[in-house]
Amino acid sequence: MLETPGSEALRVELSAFTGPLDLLLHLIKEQEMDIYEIRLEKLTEQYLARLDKMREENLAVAGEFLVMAATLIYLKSRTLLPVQDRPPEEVEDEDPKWELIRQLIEYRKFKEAAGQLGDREALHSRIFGRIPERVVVNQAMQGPGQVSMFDLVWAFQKVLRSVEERSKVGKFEDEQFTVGQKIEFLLDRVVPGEEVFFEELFRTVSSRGEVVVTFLALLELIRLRQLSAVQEGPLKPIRIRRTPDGILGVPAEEAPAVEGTGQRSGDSAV
Amino acid sequence: MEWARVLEALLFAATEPMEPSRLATILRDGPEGGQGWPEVKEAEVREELTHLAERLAPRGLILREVAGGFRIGTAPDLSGWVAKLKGVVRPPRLSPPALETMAVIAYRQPISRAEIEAVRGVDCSGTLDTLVERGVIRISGRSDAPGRPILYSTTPLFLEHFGLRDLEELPNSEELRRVKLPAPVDPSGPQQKELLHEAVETSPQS
Repeated sequence: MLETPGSEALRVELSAFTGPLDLLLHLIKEQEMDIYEIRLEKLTEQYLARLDKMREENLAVAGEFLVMAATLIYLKSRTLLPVQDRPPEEVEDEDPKWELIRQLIEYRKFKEAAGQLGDREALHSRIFGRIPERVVVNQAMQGPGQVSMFDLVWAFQKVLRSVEERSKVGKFEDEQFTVGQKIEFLLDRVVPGEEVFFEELFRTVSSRGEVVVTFLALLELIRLRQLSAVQEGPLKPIRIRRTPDGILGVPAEEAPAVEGTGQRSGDSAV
Repeated sequence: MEWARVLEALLFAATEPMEPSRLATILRDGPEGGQGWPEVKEAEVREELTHLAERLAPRGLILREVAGGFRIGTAPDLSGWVAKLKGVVRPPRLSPPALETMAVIAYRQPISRAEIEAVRGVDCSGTLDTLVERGVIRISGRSDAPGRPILYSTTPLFLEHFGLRDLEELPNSEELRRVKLPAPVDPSGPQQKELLHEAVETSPQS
């Protein structure tokens, strides 16, 4: 009977903190400590107590909280050693506790900035302008209808994830797909004059390796201007179509952000 | 000023913030197949915009300067009424973790995920996806650092969402931009350790 309200409270408790640093700041404030003179022993004890209460929570979050717990315990244990007994590489260094303090101070500044942004957001989200659906065109896009490298990779990752979910554990297969084969498959699959959804091309694919090879084949065909990828707008489904014979489609260049930037300039001067 | 009416109409119909220079150009060029006011200057437009904002103040509309331009909207205290209209959508507010990630990017852009995570101490991939999807940040390039990580920057929609004229209007921008970021977590490499120590030495004591 008592457990149900208890776990409810936990849920609220954890969602109140955005991460271990947030929790630490909260504890420091609660204990009325000066951030430059944190009492590690007290702080560690309080932190671990909170962690105990959080234990049943989401694992991914808990992981980060646990790393911090380990750091705190290490820092605390270190204070127990006399200076001459510390590991040699640390003797001449400053107290590693400063690293944590520095991180906390830094984090606190951004947390405050986030709070101020939140206040602004609260005010401005109450102002309605014309055309409520605000669509911002991804700057990586190369123009209407064109798909950038990032969009393709995004779609590819989605497919990859779904295949991983689909594939059964413990199943081994002799995979013998080549990019060449997949190129033939794709040219077969995408008939001139018709469009195929990006995801559709991966429907029959059964393994991670096959997804990768198929994607490479697709990129190659786009590069060779046999196929082109179109998208009506950001986040809309990507469609693949055959580039009409004799007409060169818009070149499927890499998005500017993908290309190497002018790293080599400068040195040759003088 | 005869063109003040035109200005009002343009702002009302516009679906994005309008820069004074753009408004001035439209006024000078004139309407479709008609005569404009070739002598209109950007400064005059700006002045008229201030007047318009003052005239609107006691009314149901407001004129804001956001994302480098001017935009007409409904008065914030009336949001409860406007929200009752069909088809009017209020952009949802960001969660506290997303706001934190947003703040780090806003002040330190362009910035990689590892650098953001070094500040926040948590995995940020989820909040980054959300922010990209919401259109308030975008991938703006790649860093020259090892692995050439992707860099994120804010978009004009970011300025609009938070009602900012430009990035300079961010509170405490001077101080936060100067803040030295913790080195991103990289399990390998002794040079990383050096960086960390260096940072520790420069820890503020006051």
